[in-house]
Amino acid sequence: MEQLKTLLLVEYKKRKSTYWWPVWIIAGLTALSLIALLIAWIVESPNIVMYGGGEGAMGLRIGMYGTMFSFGIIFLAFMGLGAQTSLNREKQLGSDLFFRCQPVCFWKVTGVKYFMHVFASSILLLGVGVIFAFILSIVSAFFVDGFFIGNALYGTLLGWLNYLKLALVFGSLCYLFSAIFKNNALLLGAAALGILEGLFAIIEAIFRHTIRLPDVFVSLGRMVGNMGLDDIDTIRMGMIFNDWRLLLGVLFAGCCYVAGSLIYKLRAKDA
Amino acid sequence: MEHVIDIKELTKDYKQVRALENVDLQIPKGRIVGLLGKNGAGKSTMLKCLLDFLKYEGDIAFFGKSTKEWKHELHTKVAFIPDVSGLDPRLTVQETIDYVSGMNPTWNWDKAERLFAKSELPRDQKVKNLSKGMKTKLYLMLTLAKDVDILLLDEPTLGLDIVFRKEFYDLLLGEFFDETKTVLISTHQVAEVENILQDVIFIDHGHIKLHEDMNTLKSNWSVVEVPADKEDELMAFNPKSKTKTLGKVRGLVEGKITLPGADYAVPSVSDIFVAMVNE
Repeated sequence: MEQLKTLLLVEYKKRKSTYWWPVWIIAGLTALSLIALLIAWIVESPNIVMYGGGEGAMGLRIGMYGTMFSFGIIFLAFMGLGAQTSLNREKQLGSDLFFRCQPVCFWKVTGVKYFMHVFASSILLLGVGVIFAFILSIVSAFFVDGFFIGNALYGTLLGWLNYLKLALVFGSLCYLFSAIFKNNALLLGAAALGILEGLFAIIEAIFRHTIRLPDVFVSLGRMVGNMGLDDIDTIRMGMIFNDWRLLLGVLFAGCCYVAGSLIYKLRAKDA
Repeated sequence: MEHVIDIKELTKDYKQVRALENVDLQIPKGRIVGLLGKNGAGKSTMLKCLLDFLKYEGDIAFFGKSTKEWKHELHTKVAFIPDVSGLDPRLTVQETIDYVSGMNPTWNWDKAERLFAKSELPRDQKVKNLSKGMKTKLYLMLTLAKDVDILLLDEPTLGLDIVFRKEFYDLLLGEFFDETKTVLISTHQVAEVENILQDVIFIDHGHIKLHEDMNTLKSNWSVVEVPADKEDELMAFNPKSKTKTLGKVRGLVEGKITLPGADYAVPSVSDIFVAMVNE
């Protein structure tokens, strides 16, 4: 347990700035929006129309869900950038032997690396979401008929759970890329998927489209399951989780972790 | 004599290059052993193979148990300091200490506190801001506080000034070494470690050329200095190396010889090393 705690802590400290960058960006954007709102209020009382037919509670739930989705995109972008260094940074810094000289199980080390790469930022995202839900509830209380923090938090939670699903598939893929490619992991990984997609298209054309091969990017997207974007008015917890495709996503993530860790282990010994 | 490291037929290839070839070696317990060789002789490769950091052919055992069986538990018994200051520059000194202490069940806090209190290491500084000497000192202190049985050092003082080098070896001898501990130091700076070594191993082009204890080594060789006009007499003993200075000829010969008018001296390990690897 002591080792696990230490590994989690040191992984966080090593990549602290990568985790916090999206938070600073969101904080900056929020501050700008609030300043703009304040100026608008001073100059002329703004006319705010909340989505949801004027029902403040539903509007806040949907608003926070959408906000979390946008924030999630920023967090995912930084996760992708972090993939470049997820498993390669120690080697680049010349400190890999220092870490390999510790009496700790390989799977514990890679498990923590995987967790921190894929899920650590989600904790920050949840924190940002909760703070934002309060801000939005307070601000909207001035314009609608009540303080609907419960609905705002529910929307935050739904958005956050959706982010977890995205992070599971996209983050696991990035982890695998960082194990395969020493540099520019995200770029090379995306290029590899693009080549695979092109290859499938060529094969289909050769067979005069009598066979149907999977669309790589669409298949990856499907593994995330239902995002609830089509029925945003009625978005609720059941819609996000009652989806068998999510099981495929979990399986895919597990495969990415195991394959990535084994490749990383083999590559470390090849150096 | 109890052996703590057993190496059998160790061979390591880097694509087209054979770095180690059929190396057989046994390292006894409670000794300071020097692994001496030129750059590229295979010293670092050997140490990395010992710790299973590289793929290799052959068998390596610590305390009679193969490294493959030991897995990560080996690092509770064996510590390694690599040839570069390989600490993580993103962490502070304190974070690095916390990390190593949290990872190692054998960590000795009393010893660590005593060592770090004596040092002038700034705990709140990032490792990247430390000098190379400070980084090496930190690495050594972290290793000493782990209380391991075997210490493998790979060119640990490379690039350090004389003050840090002396401090390093003083710390090593004063805080780590006793008859239960074993130290294997790989270096090409032979003169620097000569006085602390008990056994020496010469490695060249991936082959072990010599493995002896210091006393035997020095008694097996002698430096003979004769006047220049007696050079032919000295050459008859086939010296391994020869230098001319101020009307005298100095040669390193195997065994003890007697020549009229000659002066004799005990050779340094550096002399023997240079002679053997230049053969």
